[in-house]
Amino acid sequence: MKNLLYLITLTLLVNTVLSAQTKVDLFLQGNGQYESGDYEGAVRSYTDIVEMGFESPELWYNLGNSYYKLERLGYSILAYERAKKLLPGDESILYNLRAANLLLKDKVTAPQDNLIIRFIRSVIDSATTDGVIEFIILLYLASFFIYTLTLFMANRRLKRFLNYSLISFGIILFFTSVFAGLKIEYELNSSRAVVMVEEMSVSSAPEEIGEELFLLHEGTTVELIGGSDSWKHIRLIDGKAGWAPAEMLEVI
Amino acid sequence: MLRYKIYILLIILFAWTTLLAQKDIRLEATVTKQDMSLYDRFTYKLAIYGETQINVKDLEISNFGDFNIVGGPSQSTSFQFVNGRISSSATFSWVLAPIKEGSFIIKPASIEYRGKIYKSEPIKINVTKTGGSNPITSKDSKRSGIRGGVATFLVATADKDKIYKGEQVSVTYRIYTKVKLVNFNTPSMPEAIGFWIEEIPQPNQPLVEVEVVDGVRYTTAVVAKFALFPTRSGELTLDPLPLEYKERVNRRRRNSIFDDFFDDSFLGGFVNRRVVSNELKIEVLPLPDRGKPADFSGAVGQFELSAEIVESGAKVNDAITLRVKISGTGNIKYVKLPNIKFPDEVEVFEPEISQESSIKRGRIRGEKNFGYVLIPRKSGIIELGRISLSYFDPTSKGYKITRSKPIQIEVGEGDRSTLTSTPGLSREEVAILSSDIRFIKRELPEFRVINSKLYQSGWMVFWGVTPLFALSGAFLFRKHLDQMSTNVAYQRRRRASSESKKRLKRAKSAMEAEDSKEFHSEINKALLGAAADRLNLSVASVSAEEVIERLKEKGKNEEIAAEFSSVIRNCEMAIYSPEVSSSVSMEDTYNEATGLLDNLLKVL
Repeated sequence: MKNLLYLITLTLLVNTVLSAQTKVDLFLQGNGQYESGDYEGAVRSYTDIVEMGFESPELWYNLGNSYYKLERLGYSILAYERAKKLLPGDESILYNLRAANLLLKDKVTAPQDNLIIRFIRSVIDSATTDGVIEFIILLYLASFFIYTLTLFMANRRLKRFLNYSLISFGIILFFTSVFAGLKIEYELNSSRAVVMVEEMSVSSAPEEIGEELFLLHEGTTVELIGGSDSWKHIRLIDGKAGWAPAEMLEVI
Repeated sequence: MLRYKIYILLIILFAWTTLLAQKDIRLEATVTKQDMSLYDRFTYKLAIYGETQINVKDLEISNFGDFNIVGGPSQSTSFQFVNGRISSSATFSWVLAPIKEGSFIIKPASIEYRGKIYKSEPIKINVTKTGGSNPITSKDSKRSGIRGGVATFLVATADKDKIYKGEQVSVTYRIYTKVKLVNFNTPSMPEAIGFWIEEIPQPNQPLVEVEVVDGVRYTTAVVAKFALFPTRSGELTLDPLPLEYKERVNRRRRNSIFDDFFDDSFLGGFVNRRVVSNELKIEVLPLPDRGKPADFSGAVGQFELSAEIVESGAKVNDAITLRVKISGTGNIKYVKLPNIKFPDEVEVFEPEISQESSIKRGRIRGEKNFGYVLIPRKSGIIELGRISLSYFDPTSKGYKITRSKPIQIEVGEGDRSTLTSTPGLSREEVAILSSDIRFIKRELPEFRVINSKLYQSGWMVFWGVTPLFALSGAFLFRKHLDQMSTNVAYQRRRRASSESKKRLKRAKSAMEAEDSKEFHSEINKALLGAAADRLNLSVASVSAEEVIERLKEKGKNEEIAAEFSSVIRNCEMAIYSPEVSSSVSMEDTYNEATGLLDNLLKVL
């Protein structure tokens, strides 16, 4: 019995080490296949990592590149969007996503947001949620540390300085928390999806009763605003909305 | 059909005609020449000689299927009485022109006369490109003596007979004539395989000169001039060029009083004629391999290259134009784009090419302009270096290179926001379409579990709560420090154990040093001090009795009180009367004191 327990622990341990090893190996293997032009192989290696339950912006980005080379735009854009979600400010990801979007059949032009909204959006996009959270935790710990220091500080001038910095830390903490809250809120509320089939008709109502409103083609990104498991209520960035079968979409 | 027509003609013309009957007749066919070029004409004459009248109705003429009838038939008859014998003849003549090259036979004509069929001889005609049995080669084409006796001829001369591939050779066509030339048409371009031909325009009124060739005076004029650029090497042939011209002829009508009227008159007297030039052979040398630059693209001549940036003060994402101008004499048409290495931060569009050529002193010279549209994608200074063109100079028989000034583009910071707001197909879209996606990321990533979120993890709680504990600890410590500095009772209480422990330590060292007095004094002070601190009394004023009393007050502490008094007494005895050796050893006292101290601190 005891032996069996040992064995299980050992296998688990070995498994974690091995899986860490294979993740990296698969990633490197995928890179090698991509560089030698074997994009199919690269896609297989990268998706194996995803199937193991791991992700990283680099992984999604490389996967997007491989799909792009195979001219599977839907998958490519999905991968790029997922990479962008993990690392919103990365230039290469944005560049390739834009390049892939240029090849799409559907040209949906978004109405121009005003400058303030664009600025806020770019600020929100400039950092990852995790990064903001990490920053908040650091700031939080630092404030506590400084407060503790002030308790024992005898030097009046230094104490005053620390108090001021504490106040500013508090203000920064407040705003970053609001920012993080907005970001998380945005992340939770805005779920987007990519059209994965060559052509998809969007109808005015779910099920088959709706009338066909417009056609979307592979790779177009839509916003999900509701719906059930089988039918999704979608909206394009230019405002057109309708219902589409869920199996033709893939949530980013 | 033709045959039918001829019959009709014959009937109309000669139906009434009867020749005197002769006993014997003869049919003779002659031509003016048998070897000719495609552009020559010749006269076919058919003569019937006989002694009697001949009914020409019976004349059967073969058709001239291989030839076109240009003129005729014209007819003449004659009667002669010689020595009482009549001889008559009838002559029919046609002017014929060949249709194609080759050798042909004009079939014999026949006539039936008194039950007998008379036939003429078949005539063989050779039609060749050059015509005649005396082709003129380029070597002796100039001032050709062979044609000395010919009334009109056309001579083609080249200014060089050995040239390099791509070098210009000028071919001049000059007509020589003894007769009065009225007019000639501008000839079409000569057929020249392997050449690029450009006509050098001649003045409308050609300059007529007089030249003596082989003792014969000829009037001569330049008919046409062409500039030729061979596009391949080897011996290239320039096909003979036909030229149509009008010649004035004198119509001599015998004894006609109208002679003076019609001669030289504009009413007539022109004959359309054709003349064919000689064939020209030009030896084209291949360009030498020695010293051939790697970027040589076939330019032959003398060229000059200049380049400039048209707009100054360019900005990022603004289009600027790089103008490269190549000018000079030579095969400007074949000058290819100079190879320009553009740096990656500049986007280049297909250049716009314009070309102009002119003729200066018989040489083709031209100008070729390349307009490159560049869009810099980065600010800073972009170096394009010198743009160069290598060409072959046939006069010096070597390769040369022409270079522009070094080109530098200063790119200022652009307005980025215009990039995204450009409507329609923006510049940015063009930029991305023309290039590939960026390469994969090769740095090893930090993998994380899919959809894991930091703000939902346990770390969040840990880091949120830990500082709270730390802070409360800090508060407590602060409070302790405050009490220590302000509250004497607190201070004493806090001090008690540490103070007494210090003394115990000293006692222990004294014990080890066998210093009985010191040992007992320390034990005494430790116990008294601890009790005094705990009872918030001054150490100096406290007495053992007071402590014992207090201990008893607290109740149930009789034991500790008794122990306390015994240890204190023991110590005092050892201090004040050291000569009385104590029954209790120092070690026992020490152990007892430590136990007692603990109890004391607990109780008080």
